[in-house]
Amino acid sequence: MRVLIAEDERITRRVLESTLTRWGYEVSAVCDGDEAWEALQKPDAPNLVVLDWMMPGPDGPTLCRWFRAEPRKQFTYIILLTAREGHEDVVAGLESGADDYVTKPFDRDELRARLDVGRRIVELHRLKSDLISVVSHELRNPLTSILSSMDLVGSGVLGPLPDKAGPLVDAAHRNGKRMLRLINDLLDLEKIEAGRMDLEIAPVGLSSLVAQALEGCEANARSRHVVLAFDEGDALVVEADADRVLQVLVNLIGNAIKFSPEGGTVRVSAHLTEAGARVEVADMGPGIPEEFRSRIFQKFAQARTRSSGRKEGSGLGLAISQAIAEAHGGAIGFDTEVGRGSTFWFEIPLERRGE
Amino acid sequence: MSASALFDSEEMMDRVGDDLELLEEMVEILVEESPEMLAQLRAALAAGDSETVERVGHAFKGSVANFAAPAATATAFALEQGGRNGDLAEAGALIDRLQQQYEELVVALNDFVAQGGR
Repeated sequence: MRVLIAEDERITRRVLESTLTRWGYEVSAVCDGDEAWEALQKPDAPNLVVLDWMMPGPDGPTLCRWFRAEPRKQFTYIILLTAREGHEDVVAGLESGADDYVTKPFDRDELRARLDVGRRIVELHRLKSDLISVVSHELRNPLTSILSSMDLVGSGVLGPLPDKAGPLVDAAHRNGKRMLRLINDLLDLEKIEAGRMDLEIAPVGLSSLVAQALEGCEANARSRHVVLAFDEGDALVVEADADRVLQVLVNLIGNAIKFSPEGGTVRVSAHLTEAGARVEVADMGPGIPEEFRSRIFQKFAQARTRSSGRKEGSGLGLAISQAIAEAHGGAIGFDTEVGRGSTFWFEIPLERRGE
Repeated sequence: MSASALFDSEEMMDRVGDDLELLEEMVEILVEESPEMLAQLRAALAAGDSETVERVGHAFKGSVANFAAPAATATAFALEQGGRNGDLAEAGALIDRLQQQYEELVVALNDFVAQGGR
């Protein structure tokens, strides 16, 4: 495995280089923070990094913060080198985004063991990404074929179905679609984590997107006795990826329906703000509990629904929606009041900037 | 001063994985770099530049720590701390002491290497 070492002090750098090479690592070494940043930015940068804390240019924790601020194609494990007799705050170092630290002058066995942990974690991350992507694709293709066959059978063009078969075909179709959504969510998540969310930008009318999203959610709303309303405000044209924005809308409306009481209304509105086009989705649900608010956009974060008391869905919808909003240069957020309801909003600039 | 008081040979050899060639190379770097660092420390002291005293003191500390040399490491650390606190009152004496400790260390290390690590 390849390792990047950033250490300004020559003797320590030489010892590290020589020692790690002897342990079978492929070592590249740089001697200050600026060179380290340059090396880290390369697309084929090593996934195991040993960063000295204090060096000329940006120091270790600063590099960690910069590095972690951007999505990365691959996971990178960072070990900080701290001085044993020093002022360096290990907790702050770890909070800056480092995965581990080793104190200098380092104990060989300890360094070797910690590098080994890093190597195993990097390998696990690679395995996980490969697994998700391979499994998802292998699941998606046959599932798509099953669903289109189901569609055909359910539509009756092949001949009438026996009475009892209709609901069964429906259930199979519905569950198959649910599975497809989950697989798509997982694939999206991989794309987001890898920083590969590619947008197909074109001018698009926001109202027509909202109308499409509402139409798609209509059956779901009806089955839960929830009314969908659209306060069509300003006619807004945004430069956006229509499919991705639709995905956000469907997700927000779907969540609003999920948490609405029977007979409740989900109200969608669109208007112009300083930040650009803003869409709001308001529900009359129970509101978001205080303790859940800070992690609601984290992946796999889920609240229990009031109706079933169960967790529904993948817990990926809002994480993906946030990534989509941010990829557009926009933002997503919510206002909520326990017992009164929640309003989720997202904003995208009218024009793409800095492209 | 005896060699054993200048550096802990067992700890040092542990650190380099008993690689005498690597140790030799490290001593060469030490000899190459240290005079320059000492000169930087003196210049910084003359200019009242405590930030540079801290930075170079820190680097010197890291450098001699590789040889498990506690006395020189402690002196370099005292310089680093003084620089950090903006207090250079002791710095002149500390630099003199560091210079002497460094020179003794190099003699002892060269001797150690010449004896084949014994």
